[in-house]
Order: sequence, then structure tokens, then C-alpha cells
Amino acid sequence: MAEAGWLGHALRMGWFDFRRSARAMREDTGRLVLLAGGVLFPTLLLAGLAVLFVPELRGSDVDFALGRSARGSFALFWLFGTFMLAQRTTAAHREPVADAFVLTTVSPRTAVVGGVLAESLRALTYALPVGLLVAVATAYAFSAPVSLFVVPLVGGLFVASAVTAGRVLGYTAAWLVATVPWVARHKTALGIGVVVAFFGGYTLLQVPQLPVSVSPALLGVLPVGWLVDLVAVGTPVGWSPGHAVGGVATATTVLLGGGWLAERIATSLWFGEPVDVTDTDDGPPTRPATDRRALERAVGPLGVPVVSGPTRAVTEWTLLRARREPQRLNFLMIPVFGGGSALGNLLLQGSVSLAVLGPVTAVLAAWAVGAAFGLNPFGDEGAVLPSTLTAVSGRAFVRGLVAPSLLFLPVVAVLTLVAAVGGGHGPPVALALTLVACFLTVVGAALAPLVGMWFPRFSAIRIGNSDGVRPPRLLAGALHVALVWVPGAALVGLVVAPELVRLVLSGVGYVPALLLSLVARGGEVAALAATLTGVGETILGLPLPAFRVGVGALLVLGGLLVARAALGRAVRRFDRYEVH
Amino acid sequence: MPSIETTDLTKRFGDTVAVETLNLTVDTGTVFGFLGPNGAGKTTTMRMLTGLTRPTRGRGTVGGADVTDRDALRPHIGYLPEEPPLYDHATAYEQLEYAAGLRDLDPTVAKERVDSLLDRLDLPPEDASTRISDYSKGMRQKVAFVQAVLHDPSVVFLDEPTSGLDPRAARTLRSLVAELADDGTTVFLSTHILPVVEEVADTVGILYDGELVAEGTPGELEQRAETGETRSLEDAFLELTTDEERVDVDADGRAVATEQRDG
Repeated sequence: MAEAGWLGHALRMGWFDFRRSARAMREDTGRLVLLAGGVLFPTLLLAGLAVLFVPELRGSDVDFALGRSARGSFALFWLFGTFMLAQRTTAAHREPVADAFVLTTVSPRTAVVGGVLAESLRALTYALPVGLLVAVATAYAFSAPVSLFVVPLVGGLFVASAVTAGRVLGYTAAWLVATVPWVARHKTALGIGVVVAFFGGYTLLQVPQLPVSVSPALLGVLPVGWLVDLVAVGTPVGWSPGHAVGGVATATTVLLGGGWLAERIATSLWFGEPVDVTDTDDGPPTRPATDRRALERAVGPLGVPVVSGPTRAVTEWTLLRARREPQRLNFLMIPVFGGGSALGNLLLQGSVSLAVLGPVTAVLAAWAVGAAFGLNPFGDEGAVLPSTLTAVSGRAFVRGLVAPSLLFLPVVAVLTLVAAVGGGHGPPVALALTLVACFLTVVGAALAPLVGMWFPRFSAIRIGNSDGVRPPRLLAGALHVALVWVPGAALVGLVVAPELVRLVLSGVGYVPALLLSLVARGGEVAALAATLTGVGETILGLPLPAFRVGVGALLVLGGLLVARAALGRAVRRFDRYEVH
Repeated sequence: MPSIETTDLTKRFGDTVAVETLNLTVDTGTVFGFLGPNGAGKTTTMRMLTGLTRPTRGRGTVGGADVTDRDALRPHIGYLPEEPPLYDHATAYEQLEYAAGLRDLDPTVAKERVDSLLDRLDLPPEDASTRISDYSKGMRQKVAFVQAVLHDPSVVFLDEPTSGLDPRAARTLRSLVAELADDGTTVFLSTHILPVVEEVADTVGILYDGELVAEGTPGELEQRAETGETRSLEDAFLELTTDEERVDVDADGRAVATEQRDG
């Protein structure tokens, strides 16, 4: 039963939560810049398209009507958004922020509606530039002022219904984990299965080049996609009033029915007794009589060979943390899946051959393993940081962070070897790529602690949840990607396509020379441009075998020196780190 | 022989003075009760003494090691901060084994000591085998205390060690603190629970606005120097930590006179 005035409370709560998260975002400069980039890029792209095509459309006869394909694509977009929002609910919004306060102050209905409102405001903030551009461009192109009203209306209904449905699904997943022992025990495997199934289905609908692809028109039967008809109101584009009304009715039903359902599931989730599966996956509840150490048992069947003493303790601890909280490795998905999907698209379009599989795997796998354990060392310690700083030396701590990545070297080697051979490379090239992958893993692992110490993240993703997982900062991730991928690409390039690397490297002379020649009016600038052109020509004229060996040796030597320096600096940074 | 010595130890954060010219001497094998209202600079002082924060000015040694030399300091100290420094996803056994590993303790010795201390603090094996995320505040406090003293340090810094403990566990912990001191360990104890200080502390220091405004035995602080009137430690604390009055410390570190503060 909700308290009197619950809607007002929910509005106040949603607005407060939105302002809190906006403030937290402003304070994280790196995240703000990357998110701004993520919003600005599609906006500028769309603006460019609008500048090109809107004048053409204005006043012209449009002979086009919305059909199942458009509605299906809109529904697919809604499903994608709902899935992502459901994931956010499970990972970061399982409980309301400051749950002890909220749940003893307002009813679950208020908390659920407030959460939906805050999340909708966040999503609308990201979508605002694109939404405004679409509204204005549509209104101008078709001389349809009503678009200035219906486009924001559809955007609002789309976001609010997707958020509500996302909350229902997210709360349901969290409730299953909290109440069903089997689900709790296998939540990681189940989670991966759900993600793979969803994106598998999404790919079938999105990539027509696949042998078993499905047309998005199939989803045109979903009434939530019919909302797109409302966008066309007042324009010459053919639309169906029945579908438009059906779309609005569906979105409203999702909002009201989903809200009702979410309240019930959330109440059970927040106030129910969760199952305890702690003991069942780690052996008996009492101290075992065996000589195996608790940490050793906990990280088994993985073993930590060679290292000993405090370094071993840090290594085992780092592995245990990743094992118990695998979601802390989710950040690896962004570059790996980003790179992987880009490669997949290129392969499907026939733009590249399978031969790129080996080099790409070498760089991606090496980066992922190198970055997995040490990219937020101070943040990972959390409240324990003062104890760690007073208990262990920087040398042992940093070595302990690097060692887990080295344990996965065989995995990187096998993956690269298989991908290289599968891509059609002969044994010498496949072996060379494997060696490069191992080298990159070592360098990446050595760089990660220092990069993570430069840009630590101390707060959880969800502000206010001090026990939450603290993934590395986006800046740390981006810097580590740049430090590993760029020289990594050059190294694998030297193995499989040295002439391409030579061509790209000659750009250090040609590109600035070209830019300078655009502004040069003779004199010193022109002379400098000529010199730089000469540099480019010299590089391009280098004999390929000498270039390969010379640049390869420089990259390897440079990598080793940088790795060593990074380790030393990370040790000093740990030893001198102050807690205020 | 002093285990902790500071000379004009000062910490500033920009224009804000957190700790001002702190001169302190704590003898080996004693319990030093460190009192002060919220924001007085107690935590900053402990962080300086544990090497977590560098002093802006002044010197300090703990167990003979300079407080700016963390490598030299590390073997001598154990630290229990106000927030129990534990990992939620681990069990108590795993956590304590990890702490022992960081200190490079012999596994067998560490295991015996862990079992003995957990037993003393009434944390049975079935609880120590479950994840810390399921612990009550008191259980966390017990594990964190064991972690701080596991390696038998010569100086232990305890910040509110009895916070969240039930009366029985709190009593056990007070006994353990006294035993540590009897065995030669120096205990630097910061707490707001004055009866704990009265019971276990050999000397008490009161910090106010970053300055040590009084130091002496609990009995000395309970005596009003001017009138000889007896009062409780709580009365003395309240009197010493208001803006109206403060007590200066004489050459022997005793409260000797009250005076009006400027503001």
C-alpha cells in the first residue's frame, strides 16, 4: 500500500536522484568527455545528413508509407534499449540508492516510480540532442509544426516504457538470483547465456548477410513498434491512425502494467529473505582439516606457481576477487566486443579476409588479459586500502597484480595460434603472431597498475553503494587501450603486412607536410614541408626486410623499457601513496 | 623507552590546519587513549603515525622508524581504521590468511594465531567460513581487530575498536588490549567511549582543533588542577573541548590551568 501523496514523493525522489547522478557525472571528467563524445558523434552525423537531405525533402512529394519493416525496426530498437536498461537494473539499480533510508521512508511504489523517473530522465538527457534535431528537421522538411510536439511525445513514451519494462526484467532477474539457489549458484553462466542469446538474436535481425538472417519486419507485429506511426503525423509520409493509437495504448499499458508488476517484484526482492549459497560453492562451512590453504582452495583449480610470500598472497587475492565478482571484468567487453563486432562486420561485408583473425586476436586477447586484473588497484582495495598500504611493500603488491595476467599467457597463446592457423597463415607467421601476443600481454600487464594508479576509481558505479564493483575509469581503460593497441597493431602488422606498416609510418612525414603545404606561402614553412616529405619518402624507400627487423626491434625494446619503467613507477606510487 | 615520539608534527590541507605542532611521547607497553571531538584531527594524526599521510612539518617515529619511511614502519605497526578494512566477497579465514600472507607470516603460526584470536572473540569456524558480506558490524569489527594484531606488531593503532561489539565481545576486546600492553605492545587507542579509556588507558591525550590540549593519566585529567575538585573524565573532556575554556599542559604533560579562548 502506497503512502498518501506517493506520486509527489516519487517525482521528488526521481528528480533528486537524477540531479545526484548528473552531479556525479560532472565530477568525473573523463567519463563526461567520453559520454559527451558518445552523444555528440551521432548528433553531428545526423546533423550532417539533415543538412544534406532536408532541403531536398522540403516541398517535394513524398511517396512513402510506414510499413512493417519500419515498425519492426522501431520495435527492435525498443527491445535493444529495454535489454540494456534491464542489465543496468540488475547490475546497478537492484535496490534504490540509500536503500535503508528510502525503504524506511516511502513505500516500494514510490521507490520504484522514483527510480523509473530518474532513469528516464538520464536516458532522455542523452537522447535530447538527437531528439531535438529529429523534431526540428522533420518539422522543417515537411512543413509540419505538429512534429515539434509528436516527436518529443514518442521519445518520451519510448524511453519511459523501455525503462519500465527494463525495470521489470531487471528486478525479475535479481529476484531469481536472490530466491532460487540454482540460479544464484549459476548466475554468471546464466547471465552470459542470456547476453549471448540476446545479441545472437539481435545479430540475426540486424545482419542480412548471414545465411540464416531474419527480417526485422517480423517484429512489426509488436505494437510497441507502432509508435513510429505517431512520428509521421502531420507529414506527407503515409501512416496508420490505428497503428499510432495502438502504439500509444501499448506504451501506456507497459508503463502502468509494468509499474504495477515492478512494484510487486521489487517489494519481494527488497523485503524477502535471500537464499545463501556461500557455503555450497566453496566447500564445507567449517574450517577444513586439510593442509590446503583457504586462499589456495578458493582459487583452485587455478594454481599460482613460482611466486611466493606477499606477492603470492596478492596474486591469489586478485584471482579470487575476479572469480567472486566476475562483473568487475565487464569493462573488458567494451573494447573486445567493439573490436570483435567491427571485425565481424568487415568479414560479413567481404571487406577483409579471414587472415586478419590472427593479428586481431593477438592484440585483443593480449590487451584483455593484460588489463583484466590491475587497471584499478587502489579502487579495488576500497576500504581496505589503508590496511594494504601499511601491510605490504609496493614491489610485492605490483608484482602480485601483474602475475595473474601472466598465468593466462597460455590461453592467449593458444587463442592466437588457433586464430592465425584458422585464418590461413603458415606455421612461421602463426608462431610469430603468438610470440607477439605473449609479448603484448606482458607489456599490457606491466602497464596496467601504473595506468590504474594514475586514474583510480574509488566510487562504485552506483554512487552511494560503497560495496559496489568499481570498474577502472574510462580514461584508464582508454589510455591502456591506446598504449597496447597502437604498438600492438604495428607489431602484428610487421609480421603479416610490413609494407602497410611502412606506408602508415611514412605518414609521420607526409601528413604534416601536406597540412603545412596547404598554408605555406613559400619561405621556411614550405622548406619544412619539403623536409617532412623527404622524411616520408625516406621511410617509404627503406628496404622491407631491414624496416621489418629495425622497427620490430625498436618496438620490442621500447616495450620492454616502458614496461620496466611502468613497474618501477607503480611501485613508487604505491609506496608514496597517501590516504587523506 | 618511548614507542611513539612526535616533535612539532603538523598536517595542513591547504589553509586548513588538521594537526598543529603535536608533541607526543608514548612509552612502550602502554595504552595511550587518544580523545577528541569529531574533526579534532585524531584520524589525521593516526594516518601520519601509520605512514598513510605525510606530515607537512615536524618529525615522528613509531617503533624507532620514521613515520615518513613506510617500508621501515610497516613491520612495526598494526592498524584498525574506523571502517573495518575487509573485503565483502571473502570469508574471514580467507581475509586473515591474505593478511598473514602480505606480512609473510609462517602459515602454521598464522593459522594457530587466527584460530586462537577468533576463539577468544567468539567467532566460531562456521561463521569464519562464511562471506564477510553477511557479517554484522560486530563480526566485521572482530575480524578487523584480529587482522590488525595478527602479526604481533610492536605498536597497534586502534580507531574505535569496540564500535558495534556486544558487551561481552567489548569486554573481551578490552582484555585483549590490556594483554597486548602487558606483553609489551604499545596500543594507541582512539575512541569516543570514555569508560573504555578510563579502564584500559595508562595515559590519555585530548586533541582539540588539531592541538593537544591535555595529556596525563586518566586520574590526573579527572582532577581539576586549580581547585582540586574531582570530576569524571567525561566532565574533563567536555570542559577541555569547548571554545570557552582550555587547559594548558605543563612540562610534565599535565593539565595545569584553564584560560579563556579567543574565539
